[in-house]
Amino acid sequence: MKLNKIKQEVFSCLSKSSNKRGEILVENVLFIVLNIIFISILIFFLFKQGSGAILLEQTYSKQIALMIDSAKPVMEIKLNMEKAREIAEENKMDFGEAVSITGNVVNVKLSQKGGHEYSFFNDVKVEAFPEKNEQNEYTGIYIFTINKNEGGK
Amino acid sequence: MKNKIKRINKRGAEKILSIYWFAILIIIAGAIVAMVSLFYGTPYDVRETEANIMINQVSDCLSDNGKLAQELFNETKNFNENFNLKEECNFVFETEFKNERGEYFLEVDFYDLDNEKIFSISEGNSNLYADCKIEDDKYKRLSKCVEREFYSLSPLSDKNVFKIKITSVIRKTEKNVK
Repeated sequence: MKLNKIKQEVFSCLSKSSNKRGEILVENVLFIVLNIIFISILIFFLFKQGSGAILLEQTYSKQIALMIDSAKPVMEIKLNMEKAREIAEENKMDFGEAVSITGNVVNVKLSQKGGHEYSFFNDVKVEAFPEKNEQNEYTGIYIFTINKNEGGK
Repeated sequence: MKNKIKRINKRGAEKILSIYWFAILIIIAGAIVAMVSLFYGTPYDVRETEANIMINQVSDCLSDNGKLAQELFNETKNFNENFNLKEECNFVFETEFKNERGEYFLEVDFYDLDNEKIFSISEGNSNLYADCKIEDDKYKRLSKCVEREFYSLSPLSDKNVFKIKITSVIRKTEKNVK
């Protein structure tokens, strides 16, 4: 009888201590997992901010406007817009319509709601179109042709 | 009994510590989000580059191979008062979008070697020129002014040397400054 009691007590003590150890481990694992999730969200946020459509629209519109400003007729300029193509495809936009030039205003649109426009002062006629490969796919390069503005303002 | 209390205290302290740890993480995350939003929310200011490009275009148009353009002079070998800077240098200062009016100002001053101004031509919104004179940092962001100068010979005589000072002012505040 006594022996049985002792056995029971020892067993209950052992199971209690093993439970405690288990709790500590679960707490630590949960803590580490939460930390990893937190850092991952932070890194994802940073990358998302750095390659967002709004930022790229602004960058490309200004870059194109400055490029046209320093160009002279007759020139053909190729601009690598691979990042813009990726973003446009993500947002289900046609890359062929990402850049439009009306008068002396460059408009870059990579999302349905977005779009950024910037004006240039060089009085030239500019045409912009995307480059395509043999499979009729966009290569991510935009071609700008600069000609004399015959109409002239 | 004492050991039990110690253990309970230790676990309690650990819990408090982890709450503080998460509070610190949230504060750090908040600070990073605020800094990143501020950094990416501010537009790129390209006006200085733009003004420099404009000056390059003007100098290319006024001077060729170190000599001033013939069009700058009239039949009487004086400076041509009717010289149209905008047309001759292929500039278009008007834009057809969103309230953008008079965003540019361009001034070209010609000096002799005694540093005396002998001729001046300007184009665009002359009101912007006043912004260049403001030294207060609070208002400095209104317009961007760039001044550059170069020397050139007269096309009529190699003995005449002129100092040409080009001032380019660009506003476009809405697109470049928050």
